[in-house]
Amino acid sequence: MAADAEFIRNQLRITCADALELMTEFLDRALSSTDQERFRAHLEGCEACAVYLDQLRLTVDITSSLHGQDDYQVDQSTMEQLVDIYRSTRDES
Amino acid sequence: MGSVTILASEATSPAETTEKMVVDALRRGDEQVFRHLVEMHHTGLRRVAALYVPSNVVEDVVQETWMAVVRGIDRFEGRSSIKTWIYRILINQARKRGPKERRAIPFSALGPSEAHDPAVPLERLYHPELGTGYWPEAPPHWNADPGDRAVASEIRMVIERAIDRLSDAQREVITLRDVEGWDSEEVCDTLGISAVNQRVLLHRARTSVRAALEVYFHGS
Repeated sequence: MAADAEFIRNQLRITCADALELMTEFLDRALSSTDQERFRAHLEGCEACAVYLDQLRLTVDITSSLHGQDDYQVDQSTMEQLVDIYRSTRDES
Repeated sequence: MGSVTILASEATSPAETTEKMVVDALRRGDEQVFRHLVEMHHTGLRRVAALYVPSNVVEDVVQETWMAVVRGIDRFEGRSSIKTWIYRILINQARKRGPKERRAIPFSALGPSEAHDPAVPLERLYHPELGTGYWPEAPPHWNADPGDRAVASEIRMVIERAIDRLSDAQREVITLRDVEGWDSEEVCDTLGISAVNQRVLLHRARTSVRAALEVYFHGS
């Protein structure tokens, strides 16, 4: 049993704890080639980390859609005020 | 101050050429370009200002930012992008007004002052055969119906609340990276923090938000 565990740990290259800490770097494509190789090898053998990574990606995707809700556009009067200020500074220089 | 003629051949990339053209146009008094700049950034500036000041002050801070931009455009040296420059002005203005205690530097430049929290509490990572540091089983899958708008809006609220509960530095970074969609270089440039610092903060922020979603889907 212990020998099997040893074998699996070797296949996984790094612990899940370590793999978790590499995930943001992975998503940023900023892993060193060594870490990249270890991380990929780990994911191939570890469904749990693969699921976690998918959930992390989904979290990022939904977070990036938060601001799609903002229908706010610069209102006319604000824009005209700003353009007036802009115009007057250009006239000064 | 005389106008500056920029030769396209002096630029080293298409992006830099565009930047120089925009700066040049703004200095010349090109209102169309100015309007476009405002349309492009005003909403984002409001959201970022809201990290630092109460909502009734947001519009004032953003207006003051635009005023500083139009007054400062002749002196802008182009060492950073226009966007970075505008947001740095905003963050400075917001900090002067903010209800939070006065800081000389952005929250995240203070460094990861929080105690190190791993992405997943270590107690969850114990496999009966493999030992410490390994998942005993996969975390439960999330069944989210993407078509269900009520659920979608609840999920967004869970995320918003989770972001509100983060440390100031983590909230700053996840807002700029994930909510506003900036790349890491822009974030580091604007906040004046290292790439490593930025990534550590982002990692902690994202894993906390993910944990909040896990609770929403499956309970704690």
